[in-house]
Amino acid sequence: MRWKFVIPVGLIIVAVVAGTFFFLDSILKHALISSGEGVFGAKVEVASVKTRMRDLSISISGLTIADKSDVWKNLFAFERVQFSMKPLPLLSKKLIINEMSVTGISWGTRRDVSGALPPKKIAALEKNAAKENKNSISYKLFNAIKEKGSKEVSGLPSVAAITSAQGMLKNFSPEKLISAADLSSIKEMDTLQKGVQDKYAQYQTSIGAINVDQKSAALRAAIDDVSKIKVNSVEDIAAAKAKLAQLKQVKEDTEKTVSDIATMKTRLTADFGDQKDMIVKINALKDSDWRSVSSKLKLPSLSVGNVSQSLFGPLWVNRVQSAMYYMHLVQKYMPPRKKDDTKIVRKRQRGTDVSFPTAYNPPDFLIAMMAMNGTTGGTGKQGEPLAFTGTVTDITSDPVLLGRPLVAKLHGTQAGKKLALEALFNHCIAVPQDTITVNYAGMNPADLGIPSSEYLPPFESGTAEVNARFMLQNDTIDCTMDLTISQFSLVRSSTAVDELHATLAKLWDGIPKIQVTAKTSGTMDNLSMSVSSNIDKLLSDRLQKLFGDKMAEAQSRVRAEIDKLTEQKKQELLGQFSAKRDELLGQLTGKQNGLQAQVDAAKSQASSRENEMKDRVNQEKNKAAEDLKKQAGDAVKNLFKM
Amino acid sequence: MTTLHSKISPNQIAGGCMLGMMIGILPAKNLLTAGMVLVILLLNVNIGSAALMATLFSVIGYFADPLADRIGYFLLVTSTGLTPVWAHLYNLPLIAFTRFNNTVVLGSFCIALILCVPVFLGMRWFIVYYRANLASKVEQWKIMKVFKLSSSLNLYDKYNQ
Repeated sequence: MRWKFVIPVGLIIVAVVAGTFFFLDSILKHALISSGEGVFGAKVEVASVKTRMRDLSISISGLTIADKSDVWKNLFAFERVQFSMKPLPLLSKKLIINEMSVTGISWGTRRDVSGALPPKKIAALEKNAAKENKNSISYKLFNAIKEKGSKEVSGLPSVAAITSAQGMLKNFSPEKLISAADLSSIKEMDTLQKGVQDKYAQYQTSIGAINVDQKSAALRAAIDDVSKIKVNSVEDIAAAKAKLAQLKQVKEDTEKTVSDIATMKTRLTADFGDQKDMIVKINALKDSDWRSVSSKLKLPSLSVGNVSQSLFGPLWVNRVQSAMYYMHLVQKYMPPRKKDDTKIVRKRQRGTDVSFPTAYNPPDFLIAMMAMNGTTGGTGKQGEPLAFTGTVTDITSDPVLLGRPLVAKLHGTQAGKKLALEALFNHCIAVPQDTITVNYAGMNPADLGIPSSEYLPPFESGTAEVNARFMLQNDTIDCTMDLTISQFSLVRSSTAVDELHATLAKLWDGIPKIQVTAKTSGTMDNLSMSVSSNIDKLLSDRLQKLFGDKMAEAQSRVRAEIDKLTEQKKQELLGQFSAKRDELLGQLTGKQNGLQAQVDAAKSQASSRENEMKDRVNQEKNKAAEDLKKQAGDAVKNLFKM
Repeated sequence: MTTLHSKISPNQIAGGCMLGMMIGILPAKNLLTAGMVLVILLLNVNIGSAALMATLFSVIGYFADPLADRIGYFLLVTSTGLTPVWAHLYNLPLIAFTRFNNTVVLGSFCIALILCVPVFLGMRWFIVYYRANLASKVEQWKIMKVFKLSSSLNLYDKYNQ
């Protein structure tokens, strides 16, 4: 034992403890800022931290958390947070707070300095975030909503784009813009024309190869031979039969040629197709040209159905994302588990922490009750603020061990305004369920955070009511929002840039109430999102009237020019197509008919000769029979004479 | 090198090496490491060799982390028979600050415990062997002569008395 070291070591330990005691406030403040910035990804500021060892209490003043999505606003601000910890559980590294008071809560208040973290710190946080468990349901859903929102909530075309398009359309000359050389339909029609010519030449060669004259001459010669046959006696029949057999063979050969011509006709008809098919092809090419030229014009499109989705969709996506973010945080720090689990395993940056919950010991972290009060107002907010009070119970690292869900309730009523928020994070049951319901009536529409748009100027006054419900159960979300804005007026720009802006300013005239219904539901693989409002049709009609007619006019002028440039080529192609096709068909039909007539004549000649031969044979047969009869009679007579 | 050529007993040096190895291999910022430092300061072991081994094994410990994690995971999570022991320890005052419930900490502690005896015995044998067979040869090295002339060795001897 190194006894001479005992006193110095003891002194060092005392110095460390004393130093920690004296600088505990600063250490805690630093730890609070560091962990807060890690969780919220934006600046966290703390005015002061005061600890009192007598009752192990901590008082935090001036706590502000910046909003990482809008660094010039606070996500939350707290005037004072006060609580005292139970001493004995602290020795077992358990933080148990029976009662916490949070006063002067506000949100969305303006900041004088940016709340953005230095890039180095953001990079470190992103590095840590990359190690986060990306398989958690809430994390996946958070990203699925983000993706769905960016995919489905498309913005309306900018007014500047429409104005410039209109200016362009005013002096727009389709003749200057479109040249025949640039049109793909004309090039394609040239190709089609060449194709027709190639096919024509190919068929001409094939038709030429059919030697109709030779076939015809052979058949005629065979017919002549047969016609010269004279059947005077039975002996002549054998020679006639040979001639007839030859005629039959030539006839069959000619019939085969006729059949080949018929096949060629069918193939030709199929190859060339119908004229109306050709017209469809040409029209498709012209449509393609029209689309191509229209895209060069950069004409903004204005879909009738997407007006409210474009105006209020971002607000809704933002709210659902916020709700999912808080649910994700709660699931991260209050993870659900099975009741009979004897271990809770949490992956850390280095290794894995395993905690061992036991029924007779408290959880690692617990705030049994948190009383709070605050205001909806604050720096940078308009309208009369509404004061509220509320409680949050059972914030714990192990809700299953505690056996109670986290319940938050906020309530405030004041001169026509009402705020009621209830949240239930139930991770004690087999299928965890998180629900947040909000009812906020009498709020200023300007505080809704609707993204500014040229189509919807900022709200000057009015009354808004929001009823929203966000629910996450296992991997299924069900979120709905009803928003009503009534008696509203909008900020009018004193100097409208142009006629369009002036007209847009009047777009909302005569609309007494805006009612928006938004819904997002489903699982992360099958998420559906819809935003509809009572002003959809009205605004669409008005916007269509403003822009749609001019767009349609410009587009029809483009179409007319394309029609004009392509018409001559189209007629030429169609004319050539029909002429060539008909000519080939005519040639084939002529040859087919000529040969068929000769085949028919051959058939008739052969048939008549055959009949003639049959008659001759019959005559000879009858004559022989008569002779036989006569000889037999004579013989019988001679017999009786004897 | 100075320690090897000093009159400090092989047991003191080997003890220092053993405790230094434990500090090095264990992850920092926990009560176990702090306790080890305290033990080194209070026990009559060589602090220099402890510091050297702590530095050396902190590098080795970093690479041994995956193995430590697996050992710790086996003991804390897979071995259900040990769960009541861990659950009891987990709720005892101050024990939670040792972070024994972290797989890397517990695994590293086990590795350190396993290495304790071989490191101690190995270091003691090496020092005895070195002093008997190699020390006189090394003394002849020019660098050692230069080093001996400087006042650092005298200071070190004085400090270690």
